[in-house]
Amino acid sequence: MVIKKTIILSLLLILGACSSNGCEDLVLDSFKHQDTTIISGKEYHLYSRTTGFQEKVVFFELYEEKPTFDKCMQANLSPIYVRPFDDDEDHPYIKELILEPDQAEKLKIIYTKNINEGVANVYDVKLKQ
Amino acid sequence: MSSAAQAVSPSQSLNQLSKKAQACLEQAVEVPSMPLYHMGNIAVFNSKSSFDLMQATIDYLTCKAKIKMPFSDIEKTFMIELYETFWWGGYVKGMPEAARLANHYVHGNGLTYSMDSKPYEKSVVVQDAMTAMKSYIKELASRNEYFFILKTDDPKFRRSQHFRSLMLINNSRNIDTQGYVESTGRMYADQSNSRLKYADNRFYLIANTSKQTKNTFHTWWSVENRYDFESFSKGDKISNIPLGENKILELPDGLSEYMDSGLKIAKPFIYSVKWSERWS
Repeated sequence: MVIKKTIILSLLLILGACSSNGCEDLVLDSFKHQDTTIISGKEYHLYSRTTGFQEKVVFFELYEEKPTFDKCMQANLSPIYVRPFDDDEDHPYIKELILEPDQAEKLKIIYTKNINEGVANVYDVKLKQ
Repeated sequence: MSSAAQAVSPSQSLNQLSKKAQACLEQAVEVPSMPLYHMGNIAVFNSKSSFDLMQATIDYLTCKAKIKMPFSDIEKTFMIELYETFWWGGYVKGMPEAARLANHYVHGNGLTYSMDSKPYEKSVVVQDAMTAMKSYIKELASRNEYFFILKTDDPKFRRSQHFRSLMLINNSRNIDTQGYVESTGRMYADQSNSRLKYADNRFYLIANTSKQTKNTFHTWWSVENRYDFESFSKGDKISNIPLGENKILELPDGLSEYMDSGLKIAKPFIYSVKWSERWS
C-alpha cells in the first residue's frame, strides 16, 4: 500500500514539473451552447458556463459571434454580457430568460419556485425575445 | 387517456428498473484496483488505455448510481481512491484547500473542517466586501447603533450605499477578476482566484466586531459553508478534470453525492474559516 502510494506520488510530482495537458486548473469550466437567435439581422449566441467543483455556479454568457474554446476551455472572445444563475431554495428554476440587446440589462431572468412553470434543467433554458 | 391507464403498476415499475439495471450491467467494466496509478499514468504519460478505462469505469458506476444499485467493495474502494487522487492533484496544482476538502469528504466522518483563510484574504470580492462592511460598521458605530455582528445578507446593509458597489449590475464587475455579491448577500468568488473557486465558489461573509478604542476596531472575519454535491435529481452537472493531452475525465456531481446518500463512503460536512483584523 505504502509502495503503491509512493509510486503514485512520484508520478504526480513529475506531473507538477511537466504536465502534459498544460492546463493549470484542477477542474475546467464547462461551456454549453444553449441557443442562438437573430434580432434585427444580428446574431446572439447564448452559452452557459459552469464553474467550481462541489459548489458549482452557472453563468449565462451572451456573445455576438460564436466563440471557440481552447483545450483549457478558455474562450477566444469576451462575452458582451454576463448574467449569473442565482438559484436558491426560494427560486430554483428559470421561468424565462429574456434577451433585450438594446437595454443595459441585456439578459433578464425571471425565476420561479414552481417546477411546472419553469425549466427543470438549467441547461435546457432558451432565449425569449 | 385516463389517469388509471397512465399510472405505472408496481410490477411495470420493477420491470423498467430491471431493464435499466440490465443495461448498466451490460456496460460493466473490470473496475481498476489502482485508480491512483491510472490517473498518474494519464497525467504523466498521456496513456489512452488508462484514460479509457477510468472514464468507462466512471460511466458504468454512474449508470449504477442513477438507479441506486449497490456497489461492490472494489467499486467503493475505486471511488474513495478517486477522491484521494484529487488530494494529490490539488496539492500538485497549488490548490491545497480544495485538495484537503475533497479528502475530508471521504475520510472526515462528517466532522467540521477548519480551512486556511489565505484564499479568502487574497480574493478581490472578499477584500471589497470587507471594505464595504467596515464603512458600514463605522457608520453604525458613529450613530451608536448595533454593529457587533454583521453578515453580508443583512437587509439594512444590502439596502445601504456601501453594498451597491459589490453588486453585479449590467457588467459593473468582472466576474473573473473581481467576483461579485448577489442581491441576497451571497458572495461569488472571483473566478480567476482558483484556490478559492475550487474550495468555496459562493458563500456569505460574517464580521464579528468589537471596538478597541474610540477610533479603532477589531473584527473576526468568518465564513461557514457546507461541503456537499447535487444529486442526479437536481441536475446533470459534471466536473471536467483535465489530465493528459485532450484527455478530460468527466465526473458527474450525482455520483459524488451518491457516495454519501447511497454508499455511505463519504459524508458532507461543514467547513469554516476565520481571520482577524485591527482597523480604524
